[in-house]
Amino acid sequence: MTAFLLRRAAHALTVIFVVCTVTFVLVHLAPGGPAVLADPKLSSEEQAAIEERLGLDRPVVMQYGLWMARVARGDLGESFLYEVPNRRAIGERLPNTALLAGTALALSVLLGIPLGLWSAFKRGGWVDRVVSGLAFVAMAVPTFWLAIGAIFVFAIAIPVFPAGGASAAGEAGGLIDRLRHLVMPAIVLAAVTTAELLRYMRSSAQTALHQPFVRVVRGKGVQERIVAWRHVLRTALIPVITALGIQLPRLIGGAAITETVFAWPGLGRLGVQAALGRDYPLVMAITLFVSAAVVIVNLLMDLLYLWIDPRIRLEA
Amino acid sequence: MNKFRRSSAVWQSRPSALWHVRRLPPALSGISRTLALALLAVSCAGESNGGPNALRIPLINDPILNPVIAPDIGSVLINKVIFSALVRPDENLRPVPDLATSWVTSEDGLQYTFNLKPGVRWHDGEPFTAADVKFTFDQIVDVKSGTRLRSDFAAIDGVDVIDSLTVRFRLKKPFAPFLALLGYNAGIIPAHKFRDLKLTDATEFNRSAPVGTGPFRVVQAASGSAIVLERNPQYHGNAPALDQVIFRIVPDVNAQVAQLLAGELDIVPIEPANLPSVERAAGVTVVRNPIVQHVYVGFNQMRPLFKPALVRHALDYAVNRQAIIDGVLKGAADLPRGTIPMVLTDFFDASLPAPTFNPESARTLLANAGWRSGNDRKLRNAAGKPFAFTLLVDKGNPTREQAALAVQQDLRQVGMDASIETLEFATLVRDRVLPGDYDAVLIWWTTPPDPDQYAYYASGQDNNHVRYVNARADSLLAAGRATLDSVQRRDLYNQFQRVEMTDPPVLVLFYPRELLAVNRRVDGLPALGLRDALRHAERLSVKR
Repeated sequence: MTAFLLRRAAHALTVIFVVCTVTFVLVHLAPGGPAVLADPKLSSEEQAAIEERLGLDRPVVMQYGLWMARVARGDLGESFLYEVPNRRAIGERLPNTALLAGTALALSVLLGIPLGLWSAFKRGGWVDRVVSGLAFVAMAVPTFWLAIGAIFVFAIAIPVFPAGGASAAGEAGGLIDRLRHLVMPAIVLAAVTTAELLRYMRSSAQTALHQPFVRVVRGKGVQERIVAWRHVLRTALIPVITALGIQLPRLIGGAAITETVFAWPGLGRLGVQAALGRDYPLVMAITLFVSAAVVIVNLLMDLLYLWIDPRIRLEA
Repeated sequence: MNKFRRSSAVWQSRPSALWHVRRLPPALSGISRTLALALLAVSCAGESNGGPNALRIPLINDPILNPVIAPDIGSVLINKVIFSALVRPDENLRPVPDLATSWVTSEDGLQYTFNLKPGVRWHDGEPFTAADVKFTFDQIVDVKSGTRLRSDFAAIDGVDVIDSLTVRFRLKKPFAPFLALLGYNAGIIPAHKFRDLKLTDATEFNRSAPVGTGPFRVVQAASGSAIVLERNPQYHGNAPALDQVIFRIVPDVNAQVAQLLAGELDIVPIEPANLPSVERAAGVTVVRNPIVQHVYVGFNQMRPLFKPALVRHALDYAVNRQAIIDGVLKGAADLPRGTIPMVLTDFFDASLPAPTFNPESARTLLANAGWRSGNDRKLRNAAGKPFAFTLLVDKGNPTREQAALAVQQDLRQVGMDASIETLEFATLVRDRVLPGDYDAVLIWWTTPPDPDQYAYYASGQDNNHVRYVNARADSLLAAGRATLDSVQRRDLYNQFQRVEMTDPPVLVLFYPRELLAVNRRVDGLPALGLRDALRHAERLSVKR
């Protein structure tokens, strides 16, 4: 086990290093450069002063070396756009991202897995048909459109939910207020994930259903509900967990569209704005953070396989 | 340069018969009602209209709450509410007292002595003194401080504290725009908050706990979400009418409009393309006031193609500006007469004729410049070279992209071949315009409320990106910024406008009007652009 974890940790560090290096090169190659310098009113002297202050006057390789040295000391640097430490910029957004991603993930799991299982058992039934239809719609409709549509229906035409934000700013936003603001973005964000999980679950459960052990269990006269929840689900869950592991980074860092339309103060939006503004240190900090999160989640997923399916063995 | 335009004061107040349920197809409405009912438990609690008397304005990104180092328009807007300046523009854009009660200008125009308002306190209770003014301007002119206002105040030689309520500015040379610039972006910051701290390192101040002397003070700042400002009970001017001003961070303009329609925002700067959706809405009114901005096509005069004044004069005739104003801007702009915006009525010569669209005159002038049209109706010079160039425009703003298309088509009519290249704004500025690596660019200047355009159109100046060179313009613009007498100044700028008629530095397309979609309950907004109106935030109110 220790050997396995060590090996995985080394693997993780390599992955993070490669991701960060590639990101560093890409953001520096992107045209335009930092938006804080893209002000046609700045004189060349002011440009030079800003570049010096931000360390942009140094060669790119040296900038990278300095960045790595800071990261090694646990310092994520300062944002160009906001003049705050990146650790703080990320920290301020993280709870919102965790709340939105967590809710969306919970919704997806709670809806996608049982419905997928049901669809597999009652193939062609009305639940299967309705749910599959909805899943295709969720996957086909662009998130942006879904979000704007939801706002126009549920915030403007029938004003039951707020059109945006994480709370009613300026008021003592209690739990109910936070929940009201969470409903629409969480559902929109969960739509695609739920649809994908559902599709995975359905096909994976169908495969499991045709395996000999299911026939054996059924032959023993075990109730269908127990067949589904105890035997089929467990086997069918392995590929679904893999899919879930793929979804998670998308929920943490990639919810930018949902966050933008609903003005949700999350990490994805912060990342997109950092990239658009060529806020090099913030882009790097977010990349580092999200890639670390992904690597850790994947490790947890691997451990989860063990628990779900004892047939799987660690290969150190 | 900024994204916002400006507003007006036709405020009709009406009791808040807000947000009627719009008609939906029966089926859809049925489904949504069922869903709505199912979620009623969550949704009914906490309607957002019952709270304090608050005005809600969107920003597209988290601001930096320090007027000296703030680089973007959103920060500029919010800082005007938090930080008072020595003066502020009145509704004719003339500087009037704010933190200064009066001032004396020396005979030679080299010294300005300000008497400060007594008894003013910072939001944290400390007294405001001349030392704060000196500190602010010492930072503004220090290129190492992270200042974004240095170019506005390059004329400052030094600032002296005479006594705690008197401060004197020494200028290197007479500088007529000085007062206007003091009231523009130069909010005063407190010296006592930066004892051993660089402006750029004051994270708490810049992010969540700024201290100003303005009518509202920050009480809550949630990253990416909102900055909540509360009435400053010790405000030095008239007591603010609102309890709160809330700047909500809403990055997407369509989402801003949606929030306005849902009653979650009160003033939203919109694009002409958003007009139909807000004009239909009950409870929302649209105001269109001119702003101190000119939108233009700049021709790089380092390129031989655009060097001759005749060619640029011809281009002035070749573009149908009225069609662009009507078609693209839906009427929210005015026909230009040179680069000095019409809203500066103290200096603008309105007697000059508006530019005419006359392709025939354009062809004649071009022929005089050596460009004749061949059988294919394309212009060629004596060497047989076609009149071809690339027009840059920034990506993502439909108004400017459509204006660029209209210019391209008009120029094709006179035989020019303009190809359009769209680039992200930062790329366009940093990689092309600043290094001079372009033929033509559709761009704009938002200028302070003063006619001084020396930095933009005098030869060899930092912001003269088109490399315009005209000796007469140079001397008029130099005299204009050095002349304090406003009658003489007006005359100088009127002469400059006349020079521009035959040797245009740029092809001014229009003077835009700021389109603001405003909740009808909002009252007391001065007849100024949002940028300047927010200097009078204490006058704003919202009817319940």
